[in-house]
Amino acid sequence: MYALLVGLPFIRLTGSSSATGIHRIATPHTIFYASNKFIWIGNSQGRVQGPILLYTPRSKDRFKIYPEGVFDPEQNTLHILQTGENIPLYDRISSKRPFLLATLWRDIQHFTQRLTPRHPLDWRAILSIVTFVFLLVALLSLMHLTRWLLFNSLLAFSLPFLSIAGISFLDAWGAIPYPEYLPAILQGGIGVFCFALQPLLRPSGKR
Amino acid sequence: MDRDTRNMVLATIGFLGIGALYGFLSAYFSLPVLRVGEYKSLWIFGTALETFITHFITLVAAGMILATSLWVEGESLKYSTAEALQQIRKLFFLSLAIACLYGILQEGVLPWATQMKQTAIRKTQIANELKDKAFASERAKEYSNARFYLEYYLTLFPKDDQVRPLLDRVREREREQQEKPSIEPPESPSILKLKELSFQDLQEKAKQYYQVQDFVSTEYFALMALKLKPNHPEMLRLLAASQNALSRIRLTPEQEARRSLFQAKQQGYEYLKQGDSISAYYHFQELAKQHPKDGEIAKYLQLAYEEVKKKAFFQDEISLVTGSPLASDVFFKNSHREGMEEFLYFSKIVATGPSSYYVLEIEGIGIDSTGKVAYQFKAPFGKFVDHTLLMHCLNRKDPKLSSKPTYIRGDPPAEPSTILPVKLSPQDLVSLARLIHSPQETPFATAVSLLEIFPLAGIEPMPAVHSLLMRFQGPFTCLNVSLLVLILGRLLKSKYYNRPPVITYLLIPFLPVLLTIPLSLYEYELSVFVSILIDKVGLGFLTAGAILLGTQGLILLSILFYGVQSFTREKP
Repeated sequence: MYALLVGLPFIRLTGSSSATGIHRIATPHTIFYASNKFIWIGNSQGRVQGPILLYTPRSKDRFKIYPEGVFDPEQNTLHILQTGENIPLYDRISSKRPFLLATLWRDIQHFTQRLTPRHPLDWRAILSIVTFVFLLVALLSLMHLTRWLLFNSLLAFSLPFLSIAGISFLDAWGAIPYPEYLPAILQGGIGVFCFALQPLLRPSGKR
Repeated sequence: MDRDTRNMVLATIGFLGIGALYGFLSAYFSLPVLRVGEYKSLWIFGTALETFITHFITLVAAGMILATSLWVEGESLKYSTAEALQQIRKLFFLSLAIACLYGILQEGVLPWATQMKQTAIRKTQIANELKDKAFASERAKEYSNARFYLEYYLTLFPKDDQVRPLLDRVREREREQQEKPSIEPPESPSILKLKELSFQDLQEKAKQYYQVQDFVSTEYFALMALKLKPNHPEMLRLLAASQNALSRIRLTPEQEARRSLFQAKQQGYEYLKQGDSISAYYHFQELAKQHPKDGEIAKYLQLAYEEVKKKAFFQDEISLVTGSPLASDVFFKNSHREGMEEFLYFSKIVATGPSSYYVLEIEGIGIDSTGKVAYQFKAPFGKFVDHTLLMHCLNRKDPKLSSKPTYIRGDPPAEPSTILPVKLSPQDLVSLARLIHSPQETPFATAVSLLEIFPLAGIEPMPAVHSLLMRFQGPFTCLNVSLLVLILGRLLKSKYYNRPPVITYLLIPFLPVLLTIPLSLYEYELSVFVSILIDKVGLGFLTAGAILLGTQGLILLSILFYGVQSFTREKP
């Protein structure tokens, strides 16, 4: 438990693009298609590329040629030095996350940020960690909720995501001011709900 | 089929049916009315099929896991190893059958559905363009063009009664316009070619006319004969004699007109001799209007027309087909000169027949070895003829309305600026553009064979290879996922003697959504793995495909091993 409490704030999920780190820039002297543009790079000397030819169909000034640009492998973008324009290259290969997965990923990212204490006695973060651990423990009780094991497993699998999505929604919404500890209370509430389900659904007698 | 299998198949069919219904409803409510116009049902059907096939694995997984956990008989898993193997074999073959079905749907039905959806959008675009062009042609008093567009439109939309009165009006005006005589360029192959007039023919004609003292004709045929044999003494003598006679006598108006006509014909012939067939064409066309019955003018016009077709084409060839592009946004490298990179962009490629391809909106740029722009041009139209692109587009009636490439920067290259050598055939360019912009429309085998064209066009093949590899692994993912859910369903089986509490059935509608999360994650990670193989490691299609196949095989073996072990966990 202690390890979990200490370790959770250090769990970090990167906010970078789906394609970070896995793509190299296109082969020099080859046209590639990204960000709705045809891009051709003459020579590649490390990160500095040039000349760069951009062709944007159906735009006013379709052909653009720049003497050089810099490829940023961290962001997977091509930075045009002359104009300061950044051209994202993520969609060169269509490995975008599906909508559901992308939403989930964003919510988990947001959640891990919430768990991070800003100072040693950040009660908001500590309460969030404690209630999250409580929720995880409560989920264990769900595994024996009914005699239908698939139902139990899926319920236990979905509730943490539901909680994380709820917290993310509350933070993103922001239309109604809510108490600072509401997300933690929400997590704890779901945990209590899990325990409360026991008398309702748990089969009586010998299993 | 035993009872267990029947339950599983029925549950799967049930979920697939719900999935199909969802596909249709979602397509119906997301219908882009303006983009699909009259082709609503085509678009809805195509989109619904696409959605259904895209979610096929999830739906199958949901159906199978539900059936095995709820309706498969047997209270607990108490199998011997042999029985467990038999159980796993049964589940494996069921999964294999579903994977085969998915393969057929993915490669047989999905390209068709995508095509259907795209066709609805493209046809609406065609219809809108046809109507716009018809109105524009009518405003420009080009009634025959307007009639064509409207007739074409009505073949696509026979029930559109609003257009019929318009067509009748255009036909009436066209009839009024045609009351004035107009000469179309002759294209009959029966007309003799000028080449067939030999020196002897011309000499004979000159002699005959001289004998009957028709000095105007004698002068003309002598001059023509001298073009072929410039120093022929008899023709020189006849020319001098006829010109001498003409200078002494006073020509009648009829003779004067004939002489002018012959001189005009000679001028046209000069154009032809100098290789200026376009000037010759317009010259003879003008003469043909004035002398419609002159067979000789028709011959020259025909010859000029044949020559023109080698270096240019006519606007009316292309104006009738601009609404039906085979491909859009084609960009490729067309380097054919040393030390120069040439790039070409075609907005649309259209065809009038199996070998007649035209291009709309051409842009080209040449970059020299220092990275500077050597030239840049634009041309509104082009026609493919034997690996060359003709960019001189002629207006049949008015030479001023013809179009040529405009050089925005730099000078035209050495060869004629209107004729551009193109490395790739139009068929290859069409396939390439489709594979880049809509890979799902291209059948798998065709797409694989097209990978060779990418280097020729200077385009990186990675996205196409990635898309093909993801398609390739689709049925294997289906096999692995369905087998895994069958095993998990058995392991997470309901232990109720009858049915679980009604409240638990609330889970069923959410089951596909919940299963989408791990499935999406699996497919996404596989996609990243493929990206690493082809983009980071730099493997080719075949090697990456083999590694992918091996990986899927390992996953399958792991699932089988896990299944056998789980089923024999509780031995009797």
